[in-house]
Amino acid sequence: METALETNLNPLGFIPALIGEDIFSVDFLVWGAFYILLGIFIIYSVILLYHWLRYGHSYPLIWSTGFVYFGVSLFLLGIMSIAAFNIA
Amino acid sequence: MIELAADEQLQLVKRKHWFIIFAEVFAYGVVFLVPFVAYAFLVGSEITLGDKTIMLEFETSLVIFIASAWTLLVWMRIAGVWTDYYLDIWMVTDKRIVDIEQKGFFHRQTSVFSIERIQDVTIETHGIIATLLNFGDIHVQTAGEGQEFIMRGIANPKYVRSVILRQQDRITDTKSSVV
Repeated sequence: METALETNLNPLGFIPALIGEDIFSVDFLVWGAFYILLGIFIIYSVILLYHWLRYGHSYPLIWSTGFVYFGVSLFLLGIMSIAAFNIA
Repeated sequence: MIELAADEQLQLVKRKHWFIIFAEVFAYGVVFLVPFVAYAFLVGSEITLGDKTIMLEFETSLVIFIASAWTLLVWMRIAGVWTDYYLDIWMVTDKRIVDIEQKGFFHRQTSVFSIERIQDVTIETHGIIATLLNFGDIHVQTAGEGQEFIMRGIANPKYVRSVILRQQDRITDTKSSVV
């Protein structure tokens, strides 16, 4: 009696086969996603910073907000890049 | 903020009640948790397709990458929510009310209403949370074209109303004494 075939599916494993290994690689996908997100973050942050500086009333509050926002964001970007190195 | 006239005094500066932004950030917090809950349910589970059984597992680094990317996106959105909250402001001077509303990025509306032209100030408090935390909407009806503007989610609306009406009484008294 045949037993059911068991496979452990790694989401990254079938991507090159699906979309053509010559065109895309894990490197391309992961780092591409990272740089796209980095670009979105930079543009969004510039917009936020512009509004805080242009319309904000309390400079201590603006500075502390900026410190917290960029501190957490850079921490998350650091984790992303470290994880990306370990994937690729 | 705004430029005051030489004989104008700022009486009150108000933003929305803290619960307004708390509720919005809480909603984003719930949305933030959804993928993590889904991951906790999915990982290690088995999917049967025909005669094949597939057990889902994910590379740890990939999970960390996606989780931190998702966290960053939610964090950025929360920063946008805070910016919108912080830049919405109402100011009451002894001559006018200034309503500054940040409607989105690069979209800012500033309305100025003369206190002299105010006809009616109504307070509206909706629900148990607003009642317990003492915040609500203030509807200000002005003369002329029957304009009404609304200050939404104001903390201690009765006090704000009293400040507005006090300024109006002061202007009326000043005019009466001149006559």
